[in-house]
Amino acid sequence: MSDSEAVDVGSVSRKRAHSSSEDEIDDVVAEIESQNEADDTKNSDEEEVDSEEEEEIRGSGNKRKRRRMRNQFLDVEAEDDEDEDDFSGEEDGLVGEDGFVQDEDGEDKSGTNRVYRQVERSQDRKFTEEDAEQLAERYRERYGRTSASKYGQRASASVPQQLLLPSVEDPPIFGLNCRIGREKDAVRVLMRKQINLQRQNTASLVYSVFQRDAFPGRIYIEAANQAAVLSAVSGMPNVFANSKVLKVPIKEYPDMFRVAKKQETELLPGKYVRVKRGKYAGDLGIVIDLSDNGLEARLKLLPRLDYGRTTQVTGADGSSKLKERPLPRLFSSQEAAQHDPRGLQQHGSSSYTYLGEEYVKGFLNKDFKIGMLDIDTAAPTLAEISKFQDGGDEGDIDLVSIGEELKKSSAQTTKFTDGERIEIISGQQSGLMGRVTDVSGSDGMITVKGDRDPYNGLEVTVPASHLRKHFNVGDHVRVVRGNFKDDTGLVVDTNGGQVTLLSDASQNEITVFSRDLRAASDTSVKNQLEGFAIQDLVQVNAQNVGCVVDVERDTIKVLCQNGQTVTMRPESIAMKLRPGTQKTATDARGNEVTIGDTVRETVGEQRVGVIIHIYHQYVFMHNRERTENLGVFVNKNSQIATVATKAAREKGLDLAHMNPAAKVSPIAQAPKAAHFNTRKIIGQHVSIGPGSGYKGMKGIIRDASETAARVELEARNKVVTVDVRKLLFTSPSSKQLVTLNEFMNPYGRGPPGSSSGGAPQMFRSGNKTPAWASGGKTPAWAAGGKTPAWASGGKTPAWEGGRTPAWNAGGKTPALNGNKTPAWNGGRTPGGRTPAWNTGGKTPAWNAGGKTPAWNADSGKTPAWSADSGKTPSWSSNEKPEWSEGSSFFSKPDEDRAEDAVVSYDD
Amino acid sequence: MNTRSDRACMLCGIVQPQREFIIQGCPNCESIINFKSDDGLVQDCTSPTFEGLVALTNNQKSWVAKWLRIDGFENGLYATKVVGKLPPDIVSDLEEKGITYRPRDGSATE
Repeated sequence: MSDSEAVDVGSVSRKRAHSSSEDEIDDVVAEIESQNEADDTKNSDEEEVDSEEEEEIRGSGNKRKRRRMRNQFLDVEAEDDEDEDDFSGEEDGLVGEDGFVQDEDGEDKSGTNRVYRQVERSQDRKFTEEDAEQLAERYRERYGRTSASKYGQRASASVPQQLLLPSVEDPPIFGLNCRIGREKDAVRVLMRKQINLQRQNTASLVYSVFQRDAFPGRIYIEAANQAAVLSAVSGMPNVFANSKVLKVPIKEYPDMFRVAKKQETELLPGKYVRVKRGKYAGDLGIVIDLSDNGLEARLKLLPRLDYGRTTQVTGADGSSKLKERPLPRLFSSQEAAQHDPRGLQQHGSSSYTYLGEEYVKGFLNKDFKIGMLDIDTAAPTLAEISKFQDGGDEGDIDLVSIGEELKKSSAQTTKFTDGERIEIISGQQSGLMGRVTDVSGSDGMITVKGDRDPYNGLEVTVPASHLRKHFNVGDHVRVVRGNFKDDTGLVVDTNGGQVTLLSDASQNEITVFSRDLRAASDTSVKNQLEGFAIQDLVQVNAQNVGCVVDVERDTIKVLCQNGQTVTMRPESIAMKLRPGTQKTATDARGNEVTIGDTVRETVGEQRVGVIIHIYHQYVFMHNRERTENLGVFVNKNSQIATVATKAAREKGLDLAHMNPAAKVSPIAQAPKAAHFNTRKIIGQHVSIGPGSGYKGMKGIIRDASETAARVELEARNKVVTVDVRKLLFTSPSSKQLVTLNEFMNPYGRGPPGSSSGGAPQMFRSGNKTPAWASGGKTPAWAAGGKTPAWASGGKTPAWEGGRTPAWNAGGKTPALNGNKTPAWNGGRTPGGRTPAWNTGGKTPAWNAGGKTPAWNADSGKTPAWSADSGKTPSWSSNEKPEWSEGSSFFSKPDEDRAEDAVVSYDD
Repeated sequence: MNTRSDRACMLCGIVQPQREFIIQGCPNCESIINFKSDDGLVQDCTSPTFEGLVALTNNQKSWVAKWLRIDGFENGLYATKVVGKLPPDIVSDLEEKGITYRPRDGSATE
């Protein structure tokens, strides 16, 4: 029987149901009626009806099946409570149909089953085709009921959470200590224990067990009473039930379940993250997209591709761990095409798929699980960020995203001070502009007072992280943090958290975060770096001095004496020279010029300036109106001419100044500590010389000023302060211990005023060198007939070097040689009385000069020497036969030889 | 006990192994989100990242269950916080069924 026939059967049976008589098979009717009643009672539960029907189908006879057939047509579920009349009428129809079916039934039982199934199938199709809406309704009812029971009809489903707040009726929650790290295991174990108890139908008084990662070492049990808690955890290894079991206060219940969406887990496109594991471990990436459920993020990374180079090498041993990680580099389609053209597909002008991964504009776009990413502490460096900029053509660095990145760290470090202008950028009062009134609040809470509508006068206390410093165009600010630290400048633009300012020092526009700024209380440029300030006179190197004309963030620009400017780091500057040491010079006409005089160049540009420094013949001048080198220029004193002298000098000549006698000799003054670059000695290994309590100890200089140094002793774990002049340094050239001055000025170019200062300075500074002071006689000449040794007695500094030729020639040489020669000769010439000895003894050492026999003897030309070598002609000529006879020879010929030697010498 | 494959249903917060979701579905939400045999759906609607394990042993009397809105649900392990959100199409399906989806990742505000 085909499906269409089955449908026909159905329609026929329906037709006949109304036309046939009632009296045909009464018992069948009765049975079906009772069945229908049963169905009516059950039709509220479709599933049960279904199952019952299935049972009927499986194990019943013909009558039931017939009823079922008819029953399906009746559609009792959709239209229940039909009239009894209708019902019986339908019974008639069934009866009318019945004869046919019965016949079939009688013929073939299995055939009947088939017919039934087909009828049912067609019936089902009719349901789907004709009664789709009805079906949908049925399904909705069926599933809606379940979901309603779970989600709709629960007390907790629709009410706001405030109404779920715990009350005294709610069961108590007890907190227990647990082995740290075992909290989750404990919860799971308790879960299983409770399930087992419930299987044994033991009423459990434990309602729930939970832990939070925020409370390590604690688990919480919600139970009817404490006894239930204790019995639940008894015997559990990691739960410490015998320690305190604390009842949690009711009002703290909700706190235990606070689900704080962590600030740092808020991944947004544009945020910088770091990959934790895998090939890209530690690499910085930019989030470009997030998956719908927020579990994956698509990152933009610099690809680490080797285009198959190392895979070929390490393919043999098969270990990929040993593989060296390729350096991050922009994707190169050429290389990829070279290595594996099949793995490369191009999608657009700069978009490729290579070996299953996507590369856009040279960057790898790859999905990562959130768990793989380090979101909180990405802390990108500028170098890394700039790498992202290299490849992309997006333009400038996205300061906003970096700012976002740094926000968390900055929240703690942003320092607000009273009175600062701020803006609230998040939270309820967002938008409030005002001033900080109190920063003393705990936990970084800051009280601010609005001063603009609509928040005028409103005082609120907000976390520091909600605040942003606010600056107006024209404000003068100082950068307090970051690359541009200590720059000051004028705000020229503000854009959200970014402030662009015109730096006072470099005259460049720089853009920084407002949090790194502070209103500048001092309006001047910072012109000090490591103690070097603008217009300081500095010793650039051994040959050059210069004048500081610019101080930048970490460099110093110096105008050297030769007119060139050099930019150098402060460490490389030898020292700062004391200003005003040399106060005067002469100009081109021979007039005296002093510091402060206005002079004009006699050659060249004829620049006019006020003298600020004089160093030897170099004069540094300053002219406010010049911009080059901050108005500082340099020339020789022979090329300047006085324009105007200082007012003070115009009153008349300063006689006191000109009288040398009125001046105190600088030597007589206590030697002052020089101005020197203290950085140069920091870190030096030094010995402490006499004069302090640490004589003889060694140490390392940890800090130094111009007068004292902090020395960390080697022997004792102690840092002591020692006068720098008492320190002995190891000279880098000679490896000997030297004083500070010698250490700083290995070439004797001491700072002005130091005892080893250059002669010209001494002339100028004192007008009275000791040498001249001693009576216009140089010591050497003054010695007159006296021995130089006497003169060298160290009376004058000029002699302190002890290196004058006179001294050497006189006292020392002969004495030294004289003493030595005999010994030398004596060792080899038995007899000991060499002419050298005699001659030496008799000759005034001083007069002997270069003609002392000793000297000659030394040079290899004395008879003594000749005698030794046995080759002097004189000896040979006086040779006696006995000479070669050995020991007998020694007593006599020796004298002869000496005599001969003297004779030959005299010749 | 290997808990690495455990996942938490984003709708009800129940915690069970991933295979359990695929074989049995979610004991509470199966009628709404048909997890069974749908690996992709399990991936989308359950999260491997969750925190705050709760063993619900009495779904009628527990205040914790009420507060977490899991009262009446099957007893079992639940997560206080489930990281991740249901996909928008599932959320709109739920809304059609008259169910308000409250994300369990802490972003829900009341």
